[in-house]
Amino acid sequence: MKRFYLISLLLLLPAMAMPCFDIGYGNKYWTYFNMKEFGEPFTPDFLKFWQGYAGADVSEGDVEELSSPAPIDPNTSQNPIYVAARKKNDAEMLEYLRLNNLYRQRRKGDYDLCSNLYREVAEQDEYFNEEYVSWYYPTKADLDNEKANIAEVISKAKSYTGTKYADRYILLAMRGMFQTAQFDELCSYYSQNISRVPATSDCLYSIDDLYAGALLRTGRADDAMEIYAKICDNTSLSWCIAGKADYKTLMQVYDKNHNSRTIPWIMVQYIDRIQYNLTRSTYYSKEDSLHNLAIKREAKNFIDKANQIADSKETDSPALWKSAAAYCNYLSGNLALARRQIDAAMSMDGNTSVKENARMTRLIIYCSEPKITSQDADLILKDLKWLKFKVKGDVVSYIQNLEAVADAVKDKALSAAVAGLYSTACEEDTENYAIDNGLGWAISIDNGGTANYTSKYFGALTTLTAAETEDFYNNFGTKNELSKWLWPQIKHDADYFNDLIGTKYLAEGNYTAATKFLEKVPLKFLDTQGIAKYMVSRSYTTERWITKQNGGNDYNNWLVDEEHDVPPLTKNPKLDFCKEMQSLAFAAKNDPQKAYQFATRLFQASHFGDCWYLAKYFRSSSTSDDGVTPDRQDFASKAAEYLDIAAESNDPAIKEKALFAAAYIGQCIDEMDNYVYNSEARKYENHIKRNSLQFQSLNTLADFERGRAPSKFVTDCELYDYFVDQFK
Amino acid sequence: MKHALTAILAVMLLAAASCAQRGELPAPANAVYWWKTVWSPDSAEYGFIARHKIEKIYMRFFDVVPATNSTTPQPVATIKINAPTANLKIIPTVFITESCMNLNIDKMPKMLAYRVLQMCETNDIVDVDEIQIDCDWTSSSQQKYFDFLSRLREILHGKGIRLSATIRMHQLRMAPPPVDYGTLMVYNTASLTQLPLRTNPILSYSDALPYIKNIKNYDLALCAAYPDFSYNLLYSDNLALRAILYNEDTADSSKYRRISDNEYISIANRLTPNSPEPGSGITQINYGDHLMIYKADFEQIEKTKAAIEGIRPDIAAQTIIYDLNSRNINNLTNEQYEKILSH
Repeated sequence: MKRFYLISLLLLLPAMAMPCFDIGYGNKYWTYFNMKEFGEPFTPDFLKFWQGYAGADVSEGDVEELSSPAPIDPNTSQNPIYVAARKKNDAEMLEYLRLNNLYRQRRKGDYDLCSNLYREVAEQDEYFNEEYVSWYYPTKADLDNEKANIAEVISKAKSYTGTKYADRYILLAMRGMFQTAQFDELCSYYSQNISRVPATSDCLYSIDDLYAGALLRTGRADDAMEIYAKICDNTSLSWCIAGKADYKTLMQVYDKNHNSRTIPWIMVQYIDRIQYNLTRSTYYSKEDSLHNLAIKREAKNFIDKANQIADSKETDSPALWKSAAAYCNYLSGNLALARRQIDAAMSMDGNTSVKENARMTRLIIYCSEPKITSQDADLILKDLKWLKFKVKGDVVSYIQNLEAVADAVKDKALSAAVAGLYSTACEEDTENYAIDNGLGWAISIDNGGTANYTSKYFGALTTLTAAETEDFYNNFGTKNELSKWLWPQIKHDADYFNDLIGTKYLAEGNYTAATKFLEKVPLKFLDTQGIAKYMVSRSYTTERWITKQNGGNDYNNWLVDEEHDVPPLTKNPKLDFCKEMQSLAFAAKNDPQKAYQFATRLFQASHFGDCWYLAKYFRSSSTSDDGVTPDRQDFASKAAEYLDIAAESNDPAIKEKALFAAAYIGQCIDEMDNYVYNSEARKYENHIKRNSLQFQSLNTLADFERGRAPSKFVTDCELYDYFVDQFK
Repeated sequence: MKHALTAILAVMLLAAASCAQRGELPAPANAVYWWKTVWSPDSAEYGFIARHKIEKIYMRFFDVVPATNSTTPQPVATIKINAPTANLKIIPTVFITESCMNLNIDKMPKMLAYRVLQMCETNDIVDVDEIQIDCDWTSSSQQKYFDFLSRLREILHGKGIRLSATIRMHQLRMAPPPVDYGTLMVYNTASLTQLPLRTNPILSYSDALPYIKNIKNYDLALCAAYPDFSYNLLYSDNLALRAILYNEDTADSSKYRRISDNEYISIANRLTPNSPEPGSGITQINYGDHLMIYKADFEQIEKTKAAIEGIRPDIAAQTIIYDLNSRNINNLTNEQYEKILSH
């Protein structure tokens, strides 16, 4: 089972790793804001009508049977819809059902229609199964039959003059016409008959969709898009817009119809594109390159045009254009302009979705101020309350908006608190958001942590230093009305924060301050952590360059099928580590023996050590940039510095170990291999870095070993042999 | 000189003798593949047929793929025949994915034969005397594929119909399949999956060369198919193939920046339809994606053709162009087409 999880997570890795490379939130900002408007898939709901007709017992399966190609005998069918029609002696409905069935079973499924050739194969089997149906190809007679069936369906459906089921008959006629590619006829028929379809009909969406499809196929794509936008047929509209979500198309559509329903759809995609280009533009070329200047100019042009349209009084939705301009100003770094324009947008006209979008845009813009004034905090509080209310009512549509706000907040403490609000909301709906609750870059087979160490909240807390976290824990909840509202909604358990702050101080190399917090953490709390299995199994006094410790891997690892209980901790290794480092720190500066011990411990606590759990809660397999504090010390480099002192030892045993250790660390942080792509030869070539720590250390070690018998750990090292062979 | 002529004569006699052993190609003629999902040639395509005296069309009828949630194969992407095929010899061609060979294909020979024949009957395709099967089989699927072909051939021979199969260059190293003759696909000579591509993947003489030597003793009558197509290969910024596109406007400077003769970098993220037909898929193009433009190169075709025909002169009896499509017609000149079709 665990292997399944591992494989599933590995499959997710490429997608989950994306945020590593994107600046900001990705390329779907505005789309998220319009979730309600653009996210609803087009799914006509016929169940309600049929339940109204035949009773509440009608199931989705009964309705689906009406769409099945299997033949139905209207006189004997036990489908409650047929039963009700017979019982009511409803001739109009019975005729509709007959025509519908004729339309549905026009082709495969009616096995009697299958040609003799197939029957010849089938007779060798006991029954005529689905496999034959998939290989079925109509005979000429089948095609004639089908043609006649559809012609009858179209003709009879069109001749229905009643009002009771006009919508159903009209839909059926249109389906027949669409099937036989009579697109021009379909358009005329629609225009002549649409007035007969009640505005509340459940068939209306399907009727409009078929009409739009016919328009598209008769060269009237703009009109088709207008209808697709009206009925939210995402798939069809996306196809129509694909490749055209640019300024030129947007303006063409606007010029043709200032209030076209297609405008928001094109605009959302276009703004996503602007955002993506603005945030990714320096990825391939310099900021002031012609290409990047062109991207900025395009954004500026759009902003000017959007403002002009919003102020022109020629659109029914000025709020859409104004908030688009504000958002693009925000993306371009013009925060003051963005604020002015979004404030203006808030009092402009637009439908509910546009107004909601404007409010979300305002929240994002106000949150992105580096310094939040008390006036801004009050407004943010009001909008966050509104958003929280929306999330509670429709988590699927609004949760990502909350995440977007957390990402936009510049103030680190506030950002952590909003991320905490987001994580709490996710935890309240774990079924849908278990995945969102994790950090893509935290995925690692060494990550046995719980949600408390993989949530967005935790991710935001890692951007705070130890001192900032201390301040956040002690003071944030009383700062202002906004923080007073947020604090009770986010987790602030004392053990969690004492351990986190202590670990942060440890990671920053402030062992005295770390001790103060770690002393308060009960062992029982540590037992609940995913890293407990490593804490009980691995020692930071072991020399990593000589012995690799695998202890802990056999507990509850994704690669191990059986689960075992982790023995409870008898001591807090982080606390012991801090105390030992305090006692070693002074002497290690001059005493080679102590320096070696100090370096051994530092390296074990580094990203590359077996005891990485001392300074972090998980270890990423793809990056070393996964620590708990931005001020973390580079333990591996620091260890190398102390090994320089140890290498001065007069004791050849210590000297040899120190040189060997430095070469090992060099391989982790400054390796000699340097692969450079040769575009002419079209291959990678290794340009050895002779000034690298690894090369220099191996060189010194090889010089030291000349004329003496190296220790076993040196002779066992293949890399050392290779180095001597190649470079000495 | 006299010795040289004697040697050439000897080689030709040997070739003729081995040709007789291998069987002969039925009624060789200028031919093309039709790989689109609709048979409704436009004026340019009809013009091509007339200009180059195309008499045979190897027409893809459908593909066979594993059925969803099933252990059996099923036909998909069946061609719609919307125009008459009179005066043209149609050779129904069926592409089978290799993965079908992992399924229960006991019934497939009969189902496939009957489906093809039914399609011909329904669409007034008359005088069908051959069916061709196309499959990228490998050593792991060879046995099952060959068993399938044997059974299919038996059924077809019972109805007076021949069976042929495509032969990919890499398949020349293995035993020939049990069919009446093979069409050597002289294209797709390099893998597309990862940039950089050392050569034109459509056809490069240097890529084809290592395989060509296997033709001499290949114990099956052969004709050859040469490419005239082009495509745009879309690679992600980690240089892995993402999609094959056909409608990209690389001249649009708001979308692409040209960085070499055939290489472009996308400078905008956007969606693009895979083809102009409503309902076709959509591909997301990202900032930084690479777009590589490749088209069939006549020089490479000519060199490769000469090398192949030097070793197996009988292969020149019939040449097929892959594929007839108005999109491809301008990739080569009329004169170049004539040279490729010549024998």
